[in-house]
Amino acid sequence: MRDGSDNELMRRAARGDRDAYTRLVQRHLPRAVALATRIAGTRGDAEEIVQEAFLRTWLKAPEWRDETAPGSARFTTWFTRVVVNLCIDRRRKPVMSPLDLAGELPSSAPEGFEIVAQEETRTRVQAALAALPDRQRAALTLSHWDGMSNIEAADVLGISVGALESLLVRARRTLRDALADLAPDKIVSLPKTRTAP
Amino acid sequence: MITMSRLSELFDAYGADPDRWPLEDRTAALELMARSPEARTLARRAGDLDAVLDAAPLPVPSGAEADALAARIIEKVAAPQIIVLARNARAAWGWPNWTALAAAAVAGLIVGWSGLNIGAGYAASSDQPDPLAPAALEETLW
Repeated sequence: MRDGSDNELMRRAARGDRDAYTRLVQRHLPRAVALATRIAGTRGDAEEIVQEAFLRTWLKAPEWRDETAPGSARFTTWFTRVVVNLCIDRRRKPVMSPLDLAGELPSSAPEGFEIVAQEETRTRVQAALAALPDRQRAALTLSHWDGMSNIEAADVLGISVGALESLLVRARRTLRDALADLAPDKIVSLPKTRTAP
Repeated sequence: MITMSRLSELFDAYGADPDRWPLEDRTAALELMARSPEARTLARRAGDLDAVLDAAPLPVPSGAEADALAARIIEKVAAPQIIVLARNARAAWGWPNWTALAAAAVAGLIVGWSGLNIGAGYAASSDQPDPLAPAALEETLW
């Protein structure tokens, strides 16, 4: 069967099929880089982490189990776990300042007050995120920005849903205090957050 | 049925967007919000933080950046040392070598029967972390 699913591509990669592996890389790379940049702090670190994660994918392929088998993980869950763990491991090594971890600023100043204000908000959020404990930042990244369900995010982090909620509560409370002066009505060009009736 | 305390936890953990709440809580939480002004105040507060967080979307690489990085990764798996590692991994997980398995089984029987304790001193080796395992997450949560 050649259905192009992650599972099928992993089976083909296990036989040394580099085309299948290439498709897997192309499919998952943008999201992996985005997640790793947010959790590890810099694009440079993120790119190294993602390279390492895909290298492990290539080496793991021969022992990959069909995701329909009991106890086996979906590829996305497994791969995200590898990326997140590499991010956290990397963060433990160097001592970096929140400014280092705030992400790269645009190389040239954007024109227009609104864009500048938006950029400032983004930088503030990233700096506040960088100051969070690693697992709180990972939990919030998976839950809020990546849109994972609580069950999926808990699975990636290897913790219970209750423990995930606890991480999220701590993260959001810290950010609410740190960013209290950023009232939403002062933030421009934002997508409207849906609120329940 | 859901309590105000649980609803407050949902806002604190997941924000104001019901799509992010656990499925099992969603319907009851929305019902409580519909009849409770206090719940709606909490929702607005959580929504304010959501809006601030949404101002910093995930930094997804451009198509050109992603293509360049993908090319580097694909090139890396063709490196000689990676080819050797991959070949070893495939051999380890490939079709079993029945002769070797049979020899190992016989050796195991002999060792077990003779009472030798070959594994003494190596018990900890089985506790070695899988390089792919979530080692970073094994310690206490907080």
